Amino acid sequence: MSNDYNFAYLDEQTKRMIRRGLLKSIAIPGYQVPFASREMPMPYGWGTGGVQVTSACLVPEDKIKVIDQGADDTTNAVSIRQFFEKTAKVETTTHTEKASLIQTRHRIPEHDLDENQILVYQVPIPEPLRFLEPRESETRKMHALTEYGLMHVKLYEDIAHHGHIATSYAYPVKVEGRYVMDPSPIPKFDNPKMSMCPALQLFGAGREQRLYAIPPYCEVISLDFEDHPFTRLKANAECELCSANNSYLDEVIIDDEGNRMFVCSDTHYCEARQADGHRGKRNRLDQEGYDATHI
Amino acid sequence: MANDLSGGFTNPSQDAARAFRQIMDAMARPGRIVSLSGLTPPEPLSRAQANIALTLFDHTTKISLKAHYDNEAVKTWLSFHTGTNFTSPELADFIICDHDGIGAINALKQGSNEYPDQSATVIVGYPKLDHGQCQLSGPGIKDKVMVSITEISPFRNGQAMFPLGVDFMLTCDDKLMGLPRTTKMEMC
Repeated sequence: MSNDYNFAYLDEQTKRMIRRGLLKSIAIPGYQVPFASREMPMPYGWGTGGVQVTSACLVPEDKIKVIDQGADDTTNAVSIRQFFEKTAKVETTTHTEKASLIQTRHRIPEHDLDENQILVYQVPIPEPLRFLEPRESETRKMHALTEYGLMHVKLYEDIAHHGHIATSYAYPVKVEGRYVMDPSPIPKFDNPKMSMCPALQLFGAGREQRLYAIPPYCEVISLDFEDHPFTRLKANAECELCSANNSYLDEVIIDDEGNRMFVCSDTHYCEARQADGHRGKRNRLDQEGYDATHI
Repeated sequence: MANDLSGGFTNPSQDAARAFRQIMDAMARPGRIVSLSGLTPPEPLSRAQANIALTLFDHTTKISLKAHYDNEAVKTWLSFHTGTNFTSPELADFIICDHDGIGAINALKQGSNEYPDQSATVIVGYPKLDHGQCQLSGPGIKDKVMVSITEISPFRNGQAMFPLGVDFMLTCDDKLMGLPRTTKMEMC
């Protein structure tokens, strides 16, 4: 059978262009490198930037994991996983610790990452200052001059309106004391995991045509104020399937009477805990083996 | 043999992918020495330098070869395998030279304040890459790492203030060590 695709879909010239950009983004942590993003066989907003970065980094020996808001089994994650199974013939996995490359949309896995892993983020709007200043020429200048006062004003206005910093995702960070960076729309619960992370973190924004990176063991600080320090945010509950009380939780509506449940957003983490015998309150079996709490 | 064009990637797509992973690993973790083998480039190009060239060079890049690298065999071989363009050091995206031929860093492209990525990468032939007396720290390095760099000045004199600057790739035969602009160097 002939192989209809070049390895990992993209042509070699495109991969070289992305690879050169990635090396410069690693050399300047948090700085957005422009690149000539290609049209991909999926719409913008479905991870075209992340897919291009993954394509440029992939080797045949890789084992990749793709998550969408923590879940391995949602449409976006499944289709990107199948894309690389087909075009690169690489092995895929849902196990965080077994993956050599993880492409993610809007979450960092709960399981600690290690030095042999690469985390690729899908990014919708790479410019943290974009909603404060729409002109690229101006935001470029603001980054060049380290002029980040406007971002602090935005956080201050949060406090003035809500009494606390209400930004709960895409919470701006400062990388190695220089560039203010958008961590992509991960919940701010995940922000501390970016700092001193042993894994290499790469970011790709397809529509906006930007690459950026956080090399391993970098200091990544979430912006805050002395009297309003950064806090992680998570639902005040535990997972109702695996009883984890330290993972990021999704709130799920389960019927038309407004009943809700909290479950881990990281499906692999939750399943691994259940396999280890951890049970949440909706997931306990009675003595005959029936699910006693099923609604 | 001056017209020998063999010795490139046997499976360009996958060989370049594997080489890039090693190069990226080296640049993301300064002080880590990675191996890039498999090519037989013309003298004096090392296997590591050849791997970097075939992975990153193409018709959109400008290359400068310095001193004994600037010979017909090397030029012909790189042109055949990458289709790259040759230019002077001050205009080049990539410079291939030896450690004693880097010259004044401020004569190279160091980027602008708005676009610090538009800066040169210098692919340096180095006599020995091993553990040694030079301490590296900074992004990519957990605590610190000791490497066999014997003199700091060629890599830092004339280096513009961050985020501007030039990035180095140190090579020795099939070995590669990254030295980006962010790495702090200290002789012990």
